[in-house]
Amino acid sequence: VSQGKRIFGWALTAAALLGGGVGFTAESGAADTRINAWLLRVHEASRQRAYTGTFVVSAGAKTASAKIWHICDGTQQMERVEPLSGQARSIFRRNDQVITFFPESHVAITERRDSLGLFPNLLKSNDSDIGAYYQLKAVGSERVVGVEADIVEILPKDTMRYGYRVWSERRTGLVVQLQTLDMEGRVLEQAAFSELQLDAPVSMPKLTQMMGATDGYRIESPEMQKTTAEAQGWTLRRQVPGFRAMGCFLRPVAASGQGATAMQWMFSDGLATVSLFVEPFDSRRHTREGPTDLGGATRTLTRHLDGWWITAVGEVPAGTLSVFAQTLERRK
Amino acid sequence: MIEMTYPDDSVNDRISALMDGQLRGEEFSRAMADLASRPQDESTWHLYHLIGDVLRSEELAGGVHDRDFLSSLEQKLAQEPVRTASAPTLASQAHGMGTSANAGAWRWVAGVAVTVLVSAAGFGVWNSTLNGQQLASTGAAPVAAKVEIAAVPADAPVMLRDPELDALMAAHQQLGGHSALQMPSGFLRNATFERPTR
Repeated sequence: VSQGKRIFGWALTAAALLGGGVGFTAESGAADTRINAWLLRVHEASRQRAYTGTFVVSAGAKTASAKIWHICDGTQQMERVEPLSGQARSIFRRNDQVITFFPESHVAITERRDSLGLFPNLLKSNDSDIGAYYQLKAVGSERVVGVEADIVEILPKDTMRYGYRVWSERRTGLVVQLQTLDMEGRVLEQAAFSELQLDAPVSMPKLTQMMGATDGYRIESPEMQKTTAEAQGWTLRRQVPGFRAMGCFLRPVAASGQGATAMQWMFSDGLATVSLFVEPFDSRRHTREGPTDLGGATRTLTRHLDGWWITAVGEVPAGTLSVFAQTLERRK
Repeated sequence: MIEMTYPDDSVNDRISALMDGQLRGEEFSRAMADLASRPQDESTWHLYHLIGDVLRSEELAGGVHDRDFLSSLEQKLAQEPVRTASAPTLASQAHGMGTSANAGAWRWVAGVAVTVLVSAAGFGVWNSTLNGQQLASTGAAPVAAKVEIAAVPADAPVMLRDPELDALMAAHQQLGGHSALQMPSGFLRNATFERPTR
């Protein structure tokens, strides 16, 4: 497929979205491009708008909220997140650079989150098969947090992943509310603006200055080392349907106290993500094998495999984590 | 008026040493067992505390605390249904009473209430804070903190908290930006909800 054709195709879809709202059906054979186009539009929306608001996340019995500032000048994207619950912290992001200030301990953690810039390219390249595992369904429209929003459902075609219900602002596609749904359509988790001011006067120089105000803070970076599962001696017996390996890191295990490291191997089907952590088995710490439901969409599952302890974490049903844990094997 | 009893000197010395936190190991256990089994020793224990209180502040001199009242209070408390979620409320109420106008009289009640709670939570805590006043003031904090974790709504599913799992979940969420819904919702979601690692 030539570049021109692809852009033309996307422009058509975007025009359909903008002109006729979400007037398409999931059963259409062109579901692939429609899902990608919709996701791309949603992604681009945050790049074109400045906004402030209050963001609320409810998962299981837990609720957390944060004040949000967001600005984009076309090339640079900046965000400030001030969580109102839990440990006091301020998070600033410029593109893929993230710094978290912990005012009580005077520690600032800087990170580069490569993954943040990954998806637009993947979506544009038509290399993603999100449409093979999910279908898009227009549900209607609704007025939420003061804006007219279109509601779509992105529903899984098999039982290995959750579904999503998304409210996006009609004009720009900005996501204002997102629900994660289980097989029966029950809401596992919701993330939504409870208050939103679009085109708010957010100052990029001021955010830049705040992000750089590290005086009096001890700056730390997570000790992450890029690696491959192959180099660490691990492989998946067969591919878990829809999930592709996205990267692999070594990170220290703080609790081991012996300088042990854990491998973190990450997978994504385009919407859901799974991490497989592998570390040396320690009978003192690794006592409870099996799945854990902490409420919300993120689940965990542990497995003892020979001299290793495997922890699978992801926003997927417990069965999917089990498939991952059972499929992982030591290379001969 | 408190009826004064004068046990023999060796017992007095042991109670005094117990109050000063000088007894350890077997000596400590024996003194505690005596205190629990012999009413006269317990009276001496209370008397010594009262003397200490009066030396520190005249305001505390009004502390009438006959055994009948304390035991009936203990019985009442024992009859209360055990509900972990309500424990911090009781502890904080008892803690608050200490600052009221009739502080002297109430502090004993607070001390006993907290003692009952602490005994329920584990003897070790009591062991480390022998002084009744300490129990009323600082002893309440760890107990309340301990219970707070379990204080979830009755209909919520039981959740197992494991710091190591939490750390891995945080690591997953930090790097797990491999979702097309990540921008902006995913990042905001994780920044808002992330389980901080420090």
